[in-house]
Amino acid sequence: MRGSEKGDNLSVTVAKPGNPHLSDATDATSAPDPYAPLVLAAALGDESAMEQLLMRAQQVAFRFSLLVCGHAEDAEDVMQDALIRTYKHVDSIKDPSAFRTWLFRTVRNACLMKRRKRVDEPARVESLDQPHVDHADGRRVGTHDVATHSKGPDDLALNAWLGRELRTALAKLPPAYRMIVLLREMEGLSTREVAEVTRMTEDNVKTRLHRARVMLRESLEATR
Amino acid sequence: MTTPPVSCDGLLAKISAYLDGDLNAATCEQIEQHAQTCPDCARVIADFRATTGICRQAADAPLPDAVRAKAQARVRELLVRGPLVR
Repeated sequence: MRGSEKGDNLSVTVAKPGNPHLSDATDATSAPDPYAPLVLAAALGDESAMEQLLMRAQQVAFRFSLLVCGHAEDAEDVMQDALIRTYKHVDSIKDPSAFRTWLFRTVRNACLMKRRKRVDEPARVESLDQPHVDHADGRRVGTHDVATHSKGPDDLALNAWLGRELRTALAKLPPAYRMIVLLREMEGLSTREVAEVTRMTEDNVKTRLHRARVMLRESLEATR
Repeated sequence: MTTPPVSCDGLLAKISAYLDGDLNAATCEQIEQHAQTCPDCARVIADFRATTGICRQAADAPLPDAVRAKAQARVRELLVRGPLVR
């Protein structure tokens, strides 16, 4: 058993990510970091914390693969990659609060690698970093519907999981915007953390997030 | 002290910064005053909040059962055997 020789049996209370925007418009805080206490406990040998952390890492990988990259068939590999890297990384991490951005960067890179390996479909490969915006207000002409790309038997289950309306609305966003919505709105990272994961400036993150929110609102409204 | 009015376009341009708490108190007050007298902008603010709420709600959804079962199996295998799968 990993780390059991350290003998710590910590009871871990995991903070659930909250929404920084719903209760108070002037609340600028990002969601509480649910990973740091798990990382700390896992590094000290708490097997339950390690299990929770590894499940969360895979959950992040699944969401990122499906929502940003849109390839259900890649999700398994990206989840496996996140699992192994997290397991190996936990012991060496010095600052548990840095784990969250490390995890999202790792998953982002794994998704990018999967895309680059798709030599049979170069026309569908889109950059995660370039917004491909053609309109002045941020909308894109002919945005490729990657987030609803999968049409197999998993499709209904995925729609049930995420909600078809949101999935469709996200699919209309350029990939770079989807990534920012996922990180900021769904995962609750701060603007600074999103900038760190995406290697954009904070101003750029804010601009893209605003445009993405405008587009999402329009799309969701159209489905009502 | 009264704050100068903000236009509908001005509000829309600042709405994300407003919701993210990036604006100063005076600008927030301008926006709130405008929203009190402009139902359209009040609705836009409510819609933006609702959109974020929908995203947040989706993030709380558990993995689909089949995906979760596979993920748990991988975790158990890793914890028992170590990272030998790669």
